[in-house]
Amino acid sequence: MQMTLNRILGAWAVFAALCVGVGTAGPAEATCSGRCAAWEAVEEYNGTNPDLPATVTEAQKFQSALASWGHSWVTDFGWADDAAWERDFKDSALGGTDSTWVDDVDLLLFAGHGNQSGIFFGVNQSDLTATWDESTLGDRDLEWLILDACNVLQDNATKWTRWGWPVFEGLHYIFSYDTITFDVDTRGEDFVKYAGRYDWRVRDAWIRATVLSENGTRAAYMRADDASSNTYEDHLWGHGSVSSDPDDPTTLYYLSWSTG
Amino acid sequence: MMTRLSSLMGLIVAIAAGPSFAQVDPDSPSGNELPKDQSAVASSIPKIDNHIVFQIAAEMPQVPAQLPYHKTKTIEPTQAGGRAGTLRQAFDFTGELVGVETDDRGPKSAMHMDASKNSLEVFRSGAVFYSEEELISEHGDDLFELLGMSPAQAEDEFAGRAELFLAQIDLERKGLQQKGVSFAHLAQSNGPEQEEVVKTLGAAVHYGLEIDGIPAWGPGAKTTVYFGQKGISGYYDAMRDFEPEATIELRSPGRVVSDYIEVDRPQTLLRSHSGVVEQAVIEEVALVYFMDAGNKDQDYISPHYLIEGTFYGWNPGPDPQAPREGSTTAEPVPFTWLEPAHDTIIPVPEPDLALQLGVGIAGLIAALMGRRTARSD
Repeated sequence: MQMTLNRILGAWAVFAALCVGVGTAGPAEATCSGRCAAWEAVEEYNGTNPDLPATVTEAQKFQSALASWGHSWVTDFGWADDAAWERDFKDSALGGTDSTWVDDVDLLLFAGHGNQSGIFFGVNQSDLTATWDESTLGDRDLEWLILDACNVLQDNATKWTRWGWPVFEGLHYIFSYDTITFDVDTRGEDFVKYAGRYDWRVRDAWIRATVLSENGTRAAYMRADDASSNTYEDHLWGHGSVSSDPDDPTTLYYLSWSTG
Repeated sequence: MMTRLSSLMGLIVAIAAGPSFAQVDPDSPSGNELPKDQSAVASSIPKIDNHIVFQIAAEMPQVPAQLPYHKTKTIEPTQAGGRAGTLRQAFDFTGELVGVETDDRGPKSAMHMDASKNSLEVFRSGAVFYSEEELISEHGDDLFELLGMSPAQAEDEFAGRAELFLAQIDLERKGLQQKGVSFAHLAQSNGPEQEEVVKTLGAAVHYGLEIDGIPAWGPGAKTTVYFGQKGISGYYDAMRDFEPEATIELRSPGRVVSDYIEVDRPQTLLRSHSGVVEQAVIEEVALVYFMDAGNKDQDYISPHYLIEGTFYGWNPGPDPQAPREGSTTAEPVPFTWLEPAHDTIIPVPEPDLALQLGVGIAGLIAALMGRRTARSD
């Protein structure tokens, strides 16, 4: 009886190690399939931008929330500070490695500085900025991209030709901000709480996460659909329906709202 | 033996994953085991040798020598009554408890949901969030067309409706002030060359708070009434209840700004790209009461200085060893910083605790005196 118990406990330990095998700031990867999340966060910018004390904590809380409420979701990798690289986002056809990293998971959180052109890193691998014109996402895997940074989805005439038509190739959503956003450590965790624990649509989870954490800013998302998809109804895998991928989108939607 | 172990593992995985395990991304080959080669990281860190020039273009606010600070109250989020009870009545909401979030301080929030997926979430801070299934929907007609009003007329209309709602449910609080009305916009693009179609699908009426005549600031300094196609779609009161505990001496705004400058590196609460900051112009310094988010713990609401201005910087060029070469001017961006306007708060003991302490000290003195008496005997 004791032997059996030991075996069960041992097996649990292996299973738990597989699920939680992600380092917070260093290179460590877990094996996952079909419900893979990841994060990249920059707190220390090496002088290239002001440091942001809450970003890595936000990412770690996001990972913990997935472990708690994600039903078998696994955080495949987490890259912080000098380990978070621009080339992880850059399209493989342009010399990047997105098909190994960012576009090789289902859900990704980036926490750091941003503007309407892109998101910013603290090391020059192979650039400091991941820009929209070097990003084609969803052509391998990615469904939901959280860019928790200022102004990425700024509402102006170029939004469709910036983070819209050139970027969406199977990607379902980009969750981000129309305006500035504050450096808070809870938004990723809150998103997972509502989408994972309470099985809300991902859009509703992002709306709630932004309203809880901000005041006086405008949050936004962009999503894509084609003739056979319905990303409006998207939930996280395992938490409700998920649309087929809009590989060749025919319509893009952009919603923005005030956080207070 | 191995077969048994494999079966056991499979069983464990299946149990752990639950009934929804089969629903995974069919596209996903995810999960890589390749480590990143980080040997080149050191040489890719840009060599930035930069000093910021600070410029103070703000007038320092006139502040009193002392101000009250306030101790926050917490509630048991799973218990009925209070603001949550009022909202249940106001929205005729009969949802049941579906989840309790806990931490080392006990229940942190409680979520109630009904069959229509309307929800009421109650936080330990006292914040309450009622929402229809969709706080902001993409479906429906343009609100301005629906009402037959211009945006300005619609603002007045929603502002009035929100006032009426708050008066009806009697949840107005002292110092609550309407800040403005915002709208949720949905834009649709049917192709890169097509003109976008824009609809206004939701409205929100925003309230702020003044405490002792000073504005409250922060993610928890707000109450919002949300409107959709059929009326109110949500209500979020992020504000916690509090009571004055004592007064505290204020540091002068000039001293706090000096401290901010002395750090000699750019400090901001915003995630906006500024590049390498060369110049920081402080444009406004204001005294506020900071209120943290309704889903976070906060023991005291106390005076803070809000420092705002603009960062001017540059984008490093491609060579990390010589980042000035090929650099470009970055867009100026706003910055925001918050500093306590006082030294550390030393909690005032609870009355019963103070009483116990007093009784204890009196007992100790009596005992010591008794011993002395005994010795002198």
